[in-house]
Amino acid sequence: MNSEPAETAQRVGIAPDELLRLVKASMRAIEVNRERINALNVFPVPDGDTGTNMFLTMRSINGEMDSAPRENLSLTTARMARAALLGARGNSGLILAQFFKGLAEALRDGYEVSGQGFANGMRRTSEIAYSVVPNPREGTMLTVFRECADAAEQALHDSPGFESVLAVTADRALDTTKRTPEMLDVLQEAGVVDSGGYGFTIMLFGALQALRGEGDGGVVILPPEVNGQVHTAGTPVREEFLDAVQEEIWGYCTVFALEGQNLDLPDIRLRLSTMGRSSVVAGDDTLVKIHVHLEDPGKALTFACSLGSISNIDIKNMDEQTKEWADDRRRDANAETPPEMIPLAVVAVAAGEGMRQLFLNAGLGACSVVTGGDSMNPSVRELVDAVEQAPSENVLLLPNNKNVVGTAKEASGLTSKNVRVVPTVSMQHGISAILAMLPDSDLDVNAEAMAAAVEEVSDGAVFRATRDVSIGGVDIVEGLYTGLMEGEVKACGEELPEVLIETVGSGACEGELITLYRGGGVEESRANDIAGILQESIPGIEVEQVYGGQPHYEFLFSIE
Amino acid sequence: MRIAVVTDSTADIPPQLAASYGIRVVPLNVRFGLDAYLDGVTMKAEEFYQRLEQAEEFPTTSQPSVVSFVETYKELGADHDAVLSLHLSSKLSATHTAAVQARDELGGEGPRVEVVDTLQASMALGWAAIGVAEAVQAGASVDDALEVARDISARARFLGLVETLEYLYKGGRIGKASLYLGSLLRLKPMLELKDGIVHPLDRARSKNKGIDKIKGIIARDAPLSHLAIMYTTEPQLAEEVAADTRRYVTTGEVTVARQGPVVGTYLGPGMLGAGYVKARE
Repeated sequence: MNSEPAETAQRVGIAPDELLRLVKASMRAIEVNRERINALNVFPVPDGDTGTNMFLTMRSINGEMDSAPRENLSLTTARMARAALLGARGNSGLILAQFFKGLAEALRDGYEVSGQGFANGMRRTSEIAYSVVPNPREGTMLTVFRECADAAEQALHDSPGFESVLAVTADRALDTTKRTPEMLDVLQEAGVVDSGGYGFTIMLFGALQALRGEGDGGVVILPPEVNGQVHTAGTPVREEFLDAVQEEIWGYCTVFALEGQNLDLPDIRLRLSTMGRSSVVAGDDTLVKIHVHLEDPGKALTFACSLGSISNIDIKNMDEQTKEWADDRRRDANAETPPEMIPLAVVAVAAGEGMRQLFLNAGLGACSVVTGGDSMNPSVRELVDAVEQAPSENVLLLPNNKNVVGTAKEASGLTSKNVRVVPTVSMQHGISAILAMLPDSDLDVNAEAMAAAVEEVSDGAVFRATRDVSIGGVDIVEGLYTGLMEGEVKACGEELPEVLIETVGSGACEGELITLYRGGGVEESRANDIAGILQESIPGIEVEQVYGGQPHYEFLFSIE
Repeated sequence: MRIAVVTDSTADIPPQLAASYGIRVVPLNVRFGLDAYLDGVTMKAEEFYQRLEQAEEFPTTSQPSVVSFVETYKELGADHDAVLSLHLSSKLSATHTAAVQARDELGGEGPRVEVVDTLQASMALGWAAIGVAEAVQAGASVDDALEVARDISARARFLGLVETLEYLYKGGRIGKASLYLGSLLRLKPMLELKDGIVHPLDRARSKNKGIDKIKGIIARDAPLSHLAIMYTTEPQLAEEVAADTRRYVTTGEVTVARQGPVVGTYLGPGMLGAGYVKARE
């Protein structure tokens, strides 16, 4: 026997003080990358606080450990686990706390952290984490835990030292995080990797850096690319996604600790999972940490009070948080970075804030609006610029006014992009056209489908003549309401409702849906009254009234 | 070689039809608050849609337990040599995963079990199960029957018109159809299952227009070898569409079938759609 035993290239294991140093390093890593983590946070609730929650959870461990004795590994890790559980913030923090519980259980009888001990800890972490969530979803921190456990176990076969096992595990964590959008649709939709998984990855790299004596854990690790792009706080998020986020009622993120005797974990888990969403219940039969999203936090607290005493209560209004998050992202999107290129974009000409919004929110995230219309036709230059700025090589141009069709055709010849003009002569036609857009079809198919959709719609308008005029041979007296149907005068009178009903009635016999766009000068309550009268006078046809905000016209309408 | 065919309740095969082909249907679970039910067994469509419209809480669904698959496979193993288990898209549900786990659980004991992820749902899945059952009756081997399952799944299409995207959105299954969120006008979204997830197809301003569009799509995909018109709450409408689309099916037969509770959880009341298989070219 003349060879030296293993304590050579790789250190075999580490003692309690050293472990605490690594935990501090992983906290430092979270601190340095906190905003990057926050920016990715869209699941389960897009409130941009994963990094903050993970950091606060780590800080509570370190706060506790700084003053606690560290006589042996078993007691040290058990203390850490308890501190993590009590101090856990948010969903991500509470799931992260399971990592410390997993380590504590695996290292209960050890003297030092070894590759084997760490691998066992990762495996326990994965098992426990999956069990504390009622409906585990893949593509989250849970997946990262599980694959880290797999990687750590495999790494043991090659080189059992702690450093090499940790290095392999960190690499796998990053790789798994990179694949999370393939597993969870909402991540793919938002173009991000899972924030919790990314946060945990960063912690491992921070710890590794410290273990190798290369620094205090303050590593900078960029989140993996999704669709060829690294998502940061400045990356635009699709408007629809932001709108959907703000529309949803998220309620309150409610986190608290419950202490009692013989607490029935599975029962508590079941009750909370039916009370709210994203519930996580972790702990043992004397101490439980609870995280749940619900509209009335009182329900969860009252329930818990009936079982024991509650503490460490942290309640956040997620509707406020998600609104702030969405608003921030909108601001960022407006401020910097060119938008992502998409297969097909629409440029529409419109007047009035309501009409503008109707085009922008027509779905498919593809429309930009050039202001213009009657008596304020956009220039060829303006249209060319809008086409050039549209986030696609293929652009559908909707002039939405008969006086703009020519301008649009001219503009389409002055750009290198592929442009098709759908010759819409009114904004009502334009709306019908854009709603007919087929997301998976090409430019020509769409141009055709849009033109066909317009054919099925009649348009009309009611306005108040500001001077004596003659339209198509009919003399209109100043001050009277005048109704036009497909450009022809159909009614004239002093009362807006009557003129509208008469005009609509002249063309509604074949339709089944009337859309009324109320102009900037008509109050909503009045428009609702008029829509009601119209609905009663033309039975069997549905009437929908929306805000158009257009100038000149009290109402624009379409019949289809 | 005796081969059994298994599918899950999201295939929404009318019970008599499933029985006539000897297809075993394993139910998923649907839950209103604390009350849990078996899809189509302890909770029938009739009662479900009434509760769905009244319920304050959104129902939740979950895959069949691994145990229920294990028991089904073992039971079928008593008088079959092999089991073909065809399931709902793995991108929408963990049902396929549960079936695979059950197969592994058997660990070589019992019948040979083949689990197929059809990437389909509703009768697009149902027709695959029926096609496999027909092939098995005609004496197909396990490998031939697997090929039939893949072939039909690839030719099948499930699409429909919903009243609102709310149910898909709340249930977390909206997929690529999220492009349709946020519209300020009332629209009837049309969706289809593509590559196993929900995709946007088109939008209609009114239900009638949407139904016309669905008929148009069916006409374009004709000739069809199998067609089912699917509905959640309006059987009369489904019958009318079935009558209008009969001529696109090579056999001239159209099945009208109701979406069961689990699929209905995500489509909501007032849905009308079709699950069909394009004829082989």
